[in-house]
Amino acid sequence: MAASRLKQQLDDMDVKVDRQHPLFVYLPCGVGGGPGGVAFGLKTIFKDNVHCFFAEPTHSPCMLLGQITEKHDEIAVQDFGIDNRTAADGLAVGRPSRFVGKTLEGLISGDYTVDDDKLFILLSRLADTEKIWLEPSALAGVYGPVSMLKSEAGQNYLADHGVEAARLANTTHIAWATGGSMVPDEVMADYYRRGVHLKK
Amino acid sequence: MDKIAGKTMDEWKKAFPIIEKIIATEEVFWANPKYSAYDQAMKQIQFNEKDIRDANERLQRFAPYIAKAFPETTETNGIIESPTVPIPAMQHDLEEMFGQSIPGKLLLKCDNSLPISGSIKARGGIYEVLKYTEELAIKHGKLSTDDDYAVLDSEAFRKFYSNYEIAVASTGNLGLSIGIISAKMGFHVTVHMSADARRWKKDLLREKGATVI
Repeated sequence: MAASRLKQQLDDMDVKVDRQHPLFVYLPCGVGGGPGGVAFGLKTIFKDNVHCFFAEPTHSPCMLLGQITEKHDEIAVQDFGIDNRTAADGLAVGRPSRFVGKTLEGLISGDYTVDDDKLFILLSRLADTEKIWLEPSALAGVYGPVSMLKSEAGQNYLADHGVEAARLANTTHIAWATGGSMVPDEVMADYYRRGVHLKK
Repeated sequence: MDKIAGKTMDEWKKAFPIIEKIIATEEVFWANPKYSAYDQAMKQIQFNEKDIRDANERLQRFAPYIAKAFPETTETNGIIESPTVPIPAMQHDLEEMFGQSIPGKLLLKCDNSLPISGSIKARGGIYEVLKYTEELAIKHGKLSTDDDYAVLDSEAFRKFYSNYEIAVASTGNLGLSIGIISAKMGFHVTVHMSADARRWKKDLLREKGATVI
């Protein structure tokens, strides 16, 4: 549903999605149900022209480890000595969904991790530049294009999937925000101050 | 040495060197080697277009109720959806901050402003409650799929649903979403939260009529 309505929104904005105009979507991921459902819907609509990536905190990379090892819910981040402590509330999940990891194993393009401090910095910058206030988890998606473009693995992915420079210029990136509007003002102000402080 | 799902830590690191960085909580980008062409990937999946159609029709049936019970959705006729907006200033800021050009256009899908619970969980989380709500009412002969579901926003239905209990365990947006919609429909709803759950979430849920443990 989210996907078919997104297609309508993109059409209304004259944003094309086809082989020459690829779509990259960055979805913050906890146990995997929400982003998995959205990614699946997107693939059924945009097929090979959409590339979906999951985003996780560096301290809770459960879906990433589940997919790399292909052990899904048989492993938890704690098994690898990772503490699962993150300020990104809904993403603080130690063990991923097997259903999502296994079902989507051929449809998800990849996964990346983001440091908590960066989430707060991006939170404050988004508030300053766009006047949009998100919860820390939501910023994991916003880092997606940088994570992909800056890394060798990301560059290799682009080359492997025919997204060379010319097509990259036609790309649409969508960061999927998880939440934020219910966060009380004083809590959001704390998040913001933390981001500003870390940026220094 | 202890094994993790059949391999020792060293064996895992050897098989997948990226795991070393992940354990060190360094930022990584991983491309999925199993990613395949759509048609091929879908062969592995039991996919039923009917499920998506059913869900869509169910949300349409509930739209008059949602529009009535949550006035912030009257503009969208009771459909729970969020805007998608370009964020060019942030795109530029990212480029400067990380010294990385970002060709193309960066958009934000604003599920932070989804009606009712302000998060992506206002999608699947609320849907699950609506599905249960409909099944209960139909089973007891109080509703048919041809009815105007706005009738659900009434004392009679709230009294009916107050005989039922919904419980959810989540410290995050899922608990908020299920708590808010369930309490609105009249259910006894209990949200189990861990001790470190944010205070404001507990307060908000109690204010909406949910029990928080």
